[in-house]
Amino acid sequence: MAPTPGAIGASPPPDKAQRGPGVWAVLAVLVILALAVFLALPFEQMLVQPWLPQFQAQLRATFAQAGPYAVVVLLGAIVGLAEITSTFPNYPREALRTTWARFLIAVNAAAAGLAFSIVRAYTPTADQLPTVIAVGLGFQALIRTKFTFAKQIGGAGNGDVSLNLGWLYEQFQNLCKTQIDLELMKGRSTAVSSMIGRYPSLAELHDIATYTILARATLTSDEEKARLAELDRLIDPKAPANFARMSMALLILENGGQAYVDLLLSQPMAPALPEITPESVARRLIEKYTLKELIDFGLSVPASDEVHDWVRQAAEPAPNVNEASQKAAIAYFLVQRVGAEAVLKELEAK
Amino acid sequence: MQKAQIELNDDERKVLLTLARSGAMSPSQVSAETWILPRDTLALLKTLADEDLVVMRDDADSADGKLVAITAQARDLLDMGSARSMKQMKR
Repeated sequence: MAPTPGAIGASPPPDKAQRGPGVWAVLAVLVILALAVFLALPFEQMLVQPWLPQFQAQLRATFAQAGPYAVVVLLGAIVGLAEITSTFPNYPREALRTTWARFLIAVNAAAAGLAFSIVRAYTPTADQLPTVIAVGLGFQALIRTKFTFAKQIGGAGNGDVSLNLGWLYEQFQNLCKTQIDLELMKGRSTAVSSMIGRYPSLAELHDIATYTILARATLTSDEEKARLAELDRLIDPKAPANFARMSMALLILENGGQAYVDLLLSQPMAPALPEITPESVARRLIEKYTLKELIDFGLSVPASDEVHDWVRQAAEPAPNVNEASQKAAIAYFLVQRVGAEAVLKELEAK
Repeated sequence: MQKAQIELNDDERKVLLTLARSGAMSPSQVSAETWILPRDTLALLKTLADEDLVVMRDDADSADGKLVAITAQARDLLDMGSARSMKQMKR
């Protein structure tokens, strides 16, 4: 029985690495706000240095020119970002941090900017807003499209006459996807190894995995059942214990995400000298006594007749149960019914 | 096996509820939690395992070398049972 998930609710204080992106976001918002205020202020009506209204006018002109480019580039980047997060739904944040994800987003953004500059060069007098929308959205659709000019009747599509503009982008996308996956493999492998090191028992991993699936708020009932069924398969008696542990750790990572696994790994380790727990007291009973001695101990402990009767009956020989199982059952039963501290007191008195 | 065909007796229900509430544990812990004697617990767990309601496997960390966990099918069965009881109570 693993008590681990109970401790999951507590969140540790954010470290420097976690604070970093937040600080940058606040700084970026402050800079944008300061810039907006600077551009909006009516310097020409105010008593200020003469270079200030000139500089403001130049800045306004620059923004008016660069603004449409920024919108188109931003649209391209958003499309790239959406493609990555939808391809790696279990690790969106981690996927976005990889070099190849940044490259894919940058290529999307740069290609959109380039397409816009070409369009502007050929149609310099065209209205900017429709051009921004047409290029920003249309270009993204265009490079992912296959145009079929003639379609073979009733054929499988091999005889079609088509221009597949999406083929090249698809190849690039597949390359990025594979490289991102390989980059993520390293992180996944580290997380799984750390999880197994931190939670070595199958029972603990199974309980954490169950809790993780049940605690997910966005899973539908069917999805939850499917994932619990997957967990059942992982604890398959035929599978080697280490394989079962690794698979369960991976399932926890896939269902909980990297941040959740980091939280689990940041939970304090059990102290070197274990405190009094029902498990530790039961283990001491099992290690110290033979079955006969454990029965004598159980009958000497102050408890109800019902408890003593159960101990006697549990120790009776039976063909399908061995002595180790009987000892373990009696030890856990005594700790459960008499209390860990009371059992420990009796144990130390003898 | 169809879920509707499985009828649970009191001890089986007690074991499944314990596993659903407390998580995976050893057969000896199941005995201690449910007051079912060890010899009966093992037989009962084998029956439940045959019906795919629990999974039992070797576990070196367990005091008696085994680990038992409830399956998704058993959780379903318990949910159906509690829904049925609530309907009967409403009547």
